[in-house]
Amino acid sequence: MAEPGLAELQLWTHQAILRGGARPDKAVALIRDGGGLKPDERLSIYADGYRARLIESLGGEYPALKSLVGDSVFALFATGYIAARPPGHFSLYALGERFADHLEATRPPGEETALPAQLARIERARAEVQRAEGERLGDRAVESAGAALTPGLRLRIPDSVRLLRLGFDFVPLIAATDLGEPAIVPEARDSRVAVARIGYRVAVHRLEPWRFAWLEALGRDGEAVEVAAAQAARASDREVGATLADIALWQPAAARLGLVATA
Amino acid sequence: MARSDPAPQARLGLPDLGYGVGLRDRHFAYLMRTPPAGWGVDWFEIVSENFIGNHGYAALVLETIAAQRPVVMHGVSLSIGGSDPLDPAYLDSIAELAERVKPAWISDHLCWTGVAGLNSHDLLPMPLTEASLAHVAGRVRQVQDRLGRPLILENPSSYFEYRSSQMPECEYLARLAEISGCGLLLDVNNVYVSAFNHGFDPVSYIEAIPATSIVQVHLAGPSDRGTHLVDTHDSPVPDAVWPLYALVQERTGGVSTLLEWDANIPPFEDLVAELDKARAVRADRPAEARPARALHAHG
Repeated sequence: MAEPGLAELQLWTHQAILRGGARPDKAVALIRDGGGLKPDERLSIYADGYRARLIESLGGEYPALKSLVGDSVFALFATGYIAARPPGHFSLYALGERFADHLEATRPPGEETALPAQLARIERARAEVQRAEGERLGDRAVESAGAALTPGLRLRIPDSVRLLRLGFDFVPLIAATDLGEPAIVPEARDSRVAVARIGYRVAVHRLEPWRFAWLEALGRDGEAVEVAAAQAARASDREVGATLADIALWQPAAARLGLVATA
Repeated sequence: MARSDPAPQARLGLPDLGYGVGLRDRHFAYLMRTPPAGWGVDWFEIVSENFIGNHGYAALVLETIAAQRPVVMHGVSLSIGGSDPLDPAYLDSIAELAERVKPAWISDHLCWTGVAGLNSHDLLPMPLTEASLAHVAGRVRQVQDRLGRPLILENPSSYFEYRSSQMPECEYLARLAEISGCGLLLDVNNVYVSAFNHGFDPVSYIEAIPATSIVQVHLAGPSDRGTHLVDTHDSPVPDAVWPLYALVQERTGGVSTLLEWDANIPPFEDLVAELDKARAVRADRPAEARPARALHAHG
């Protein structure tokens, strides 16, 4: 057999590392024989390391899901995901980007089976917020947003905020995981949360529907507070004046939590 | 009149930074609450990919560290030996991070990490052929042109060798350094691991590396799996590695030392204690620390 070129050699080797089970003959034939290990055993060191490394990386990003379902089930989730979407990006941070989508797309029918995907979504949001450009107390955009409401004031939600509508209350589970305590099975109920950061502290906030709707209406680009309040009132079946009054009261706290900044 | 080339500068003219450790998030809190005078290390190495696009607490820690100590950027994703084109987005990210960090130098590994757009997130060994040497040298020049500085390349641990290889890895690295101008990060633990796994003499390997090209040394602890060693960075430096380290220091006349510890990471003070062993070896450079050539016999 003629020696393969570099691209072919690397393709055959890579395929042998990515696939489980027996190594293809043409890849094994590339490897020098000798020493205490056979060529396929030498390839297996890389194949085993590949899977272990990626599963460990996902476990680090999704600790609450891993804690809830246990190491074995988590490894099954992760192995399926890695097989379906082998990594292409140079950063391991990018590896988990579509994990929640994968769990959602492959779940069996039934409302309760939505839990792993939804939990993965909130954990990915935490990872993203942790790395995002965050707001800090004392920053002008935060302080201005926390001041008294003035006509025409435009606010936005910062890049370090993620808004999620979920079918379970994951807050107790996430708190337990952070403390290294045993997993708490999430209660099934409609839940609106914001994952936000102020300084370097990331928190998950449960939100009432009108507050959630107001933040959604503000968006990343920003909106006039009154306009967003009117949209929030419509979305949550509330009276506009009452909603605007409640927002005026809540707005300083929302700014201190890193949920809003001036646009 | 014949003109002679100037003698090569030690470490490519780069500084001997002393004794450093890898910056890992397990130690962020310790480093942020401890005055720099109490850190006990001269410099830090970061895994570049961990800080690219990261604007969180890790960025604050890095900024704080970099204001106090030299920092070296050590990458794992360049894939200098890959057959896919170099990733311009990755190189841009490295250049951007370097602009922020002002590293003493930028390093990566002699390896390939993936092919056909996929990434194994591993450091896969090269076929050590004339053709691949020319291929890698060309890519090193591209990277050096992009970054405007010499690239420093590390010898990886490996668990297989290609049948097609035409030369030992030490010769490949020596020639690569000569023709591309790159520097070398000599990971003494990796020499030990690969020597065990492939049955070569680690002393001959180190002696074949041009001393003036060595810019930095890595130390770490591998795992013994019976039939082979795995480069796990999860334990103290093995006794057998210290004489090899002493040999490198003797040959180079002194070169930056970095302790890597990436799993089962101990408290920072324990890292410093392990680093103190390197300080002691280098301070003494005792004759008994010189390695015997039979070192490879266990492989």
